[in-house]
Amino acid sequence: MSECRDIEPLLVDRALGELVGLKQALVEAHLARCPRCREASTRLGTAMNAARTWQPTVDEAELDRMAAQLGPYLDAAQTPRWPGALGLGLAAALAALGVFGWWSRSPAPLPSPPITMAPAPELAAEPQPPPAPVRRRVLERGLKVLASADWDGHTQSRGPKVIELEMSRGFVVLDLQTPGQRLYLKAPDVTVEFATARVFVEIVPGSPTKIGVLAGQAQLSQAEGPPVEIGAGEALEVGADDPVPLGPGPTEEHRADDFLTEPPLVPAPKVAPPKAPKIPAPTPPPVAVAPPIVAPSSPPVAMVPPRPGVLEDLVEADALIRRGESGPALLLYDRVLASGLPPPQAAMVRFERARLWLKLGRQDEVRPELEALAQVGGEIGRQAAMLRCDLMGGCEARRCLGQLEGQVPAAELEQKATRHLCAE
Amino acid sequence: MALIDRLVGRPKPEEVVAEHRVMVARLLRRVFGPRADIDDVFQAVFVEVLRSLPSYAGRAQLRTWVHRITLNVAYQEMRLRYRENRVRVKVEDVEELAHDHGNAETDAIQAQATRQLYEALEALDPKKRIAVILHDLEGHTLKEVSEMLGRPLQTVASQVKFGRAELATYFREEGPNAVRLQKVSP
Repeated sequence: MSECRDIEPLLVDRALGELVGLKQALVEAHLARCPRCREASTRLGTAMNAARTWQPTVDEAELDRMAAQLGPYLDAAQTPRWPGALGLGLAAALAALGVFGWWSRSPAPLPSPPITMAPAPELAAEPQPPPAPVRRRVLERGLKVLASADWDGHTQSRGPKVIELEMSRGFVVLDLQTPGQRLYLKAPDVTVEFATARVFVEIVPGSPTKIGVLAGQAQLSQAEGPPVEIGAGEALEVGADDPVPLGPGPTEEHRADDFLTEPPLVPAPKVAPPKAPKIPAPTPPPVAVAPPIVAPSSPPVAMVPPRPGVLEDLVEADALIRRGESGPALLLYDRVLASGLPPPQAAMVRFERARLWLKLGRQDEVRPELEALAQVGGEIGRQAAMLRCDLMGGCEARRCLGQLEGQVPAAELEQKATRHLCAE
Repeated sequence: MALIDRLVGRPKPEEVVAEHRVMVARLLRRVFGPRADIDDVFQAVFVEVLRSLPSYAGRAQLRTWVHRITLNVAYQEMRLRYRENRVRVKVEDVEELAHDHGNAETDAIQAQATRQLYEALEALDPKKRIAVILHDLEGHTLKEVSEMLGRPLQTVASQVKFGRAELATYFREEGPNAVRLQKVSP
């Protein structure tokens, strides 16, 4: 046995034809009397030679698709820098607009909502880049977590096209991207089937589970009751033995309720005419839904009406971004923010808006906004702080990321830092 | 093109993507195996390339520079995947591993063998894995691998040596349980 162990390190050398002299003689002698090592050596040799002769090829269509996703980054890389004084003047003007926009979200009525002063003509005139898929945490191939708070769950691949996700608590926004792929979400007392959809789930032990569809379609099944279809912009509460208090929670950072109910106290300023050109509401493409997993008999689900305006705007903005129309999506984000969201949710929308600015090359607006968001704290604050550091690039980015030690997991920091080349 | 770009021979971003996308995709396929999802890594590589392009001073050849960034990003991703253990080569997915020897049966056997090697490679620590891939599969010398990865020569030599030993252990100990090479009808 110990002889086998001694021989092992040399088997790859043998497979590659690098063994000579005494070592070769020793190995060959051992292989002649040890069938197990001989078999391992044969299989290893076959595998090594096959892998060495394998020439990785990439389908041209796949290459085009992957390269097309880089469009926004290419545009951002080509954005010309404003020369000296003009740049400063523009920055000052944008900062003033930003301050005005900030104050315009106060409870006082607005003389003119942000949507009317956004630079719509420029944005409409220039061709919009295709949406850049955001690099977020990937659970399984094609399934990404776009946002989460205090969630606990695990995934399992049930085949090339089927993912199973068991979730026990928390809030999560999931994006299932690959066409033809299905996600079976197993929450307490309910199973939901999604196909190419963006959904959120909130599970609070002791309270009804909330499930909403931001884009696409879903089918919900329970042990009892018929299956229930959930369309884009709809949300359900499941297992509502006790009524769930609506409205934003005092401590949770992300709450599904905040997008579904009227905001408390802060009156939403009305968007007065003349309005920006009405953006046609996108119709989510029909998504094929498979038969339910469990045969039910009665529907014990309570519908939660979405808050008029905000949810629709967010869904519409999401659809616009998917179609590459970042400019109009930006206007919608402005309108959502002007309607007075609670601070944690406003921060989420502001962060998404900043990322859109980045796509459109509006760096001067992005930096102060990220700085402000970094002060907000929580997950959004961390993401904003990291993005702000990323934008610096090089050694400066590394130093900036170093200052986030303790706030961001070390592995994530290390991963980001190593992507910035620094000769210091 | 700006004067500074011309002075340092800095290319346009779209030219960089167009010229190097095949090389990057092939390298990522080589590193992650035939069936791995490289979309995210491909995007991450070019985002990093485009972001760092203004700091590219023309001291290294652009291809070498992009190659090195690709390896850095791939290594980081490999570490993430290794931790999460979320990428597995699927046993049934062999159709994309064409070796094109003109014989479907031989191709299928070769494809299975390649797949099996990548399964074994996935069990290796990413440091050793990337060293073994570059040295033993890509055919780079230890010195070249050392320069590519920015590691000392002795470290790379040691990583290749121990990586090889672990590969052999995998094939020896996983032998009875491993997927056997078998003839697959075309």
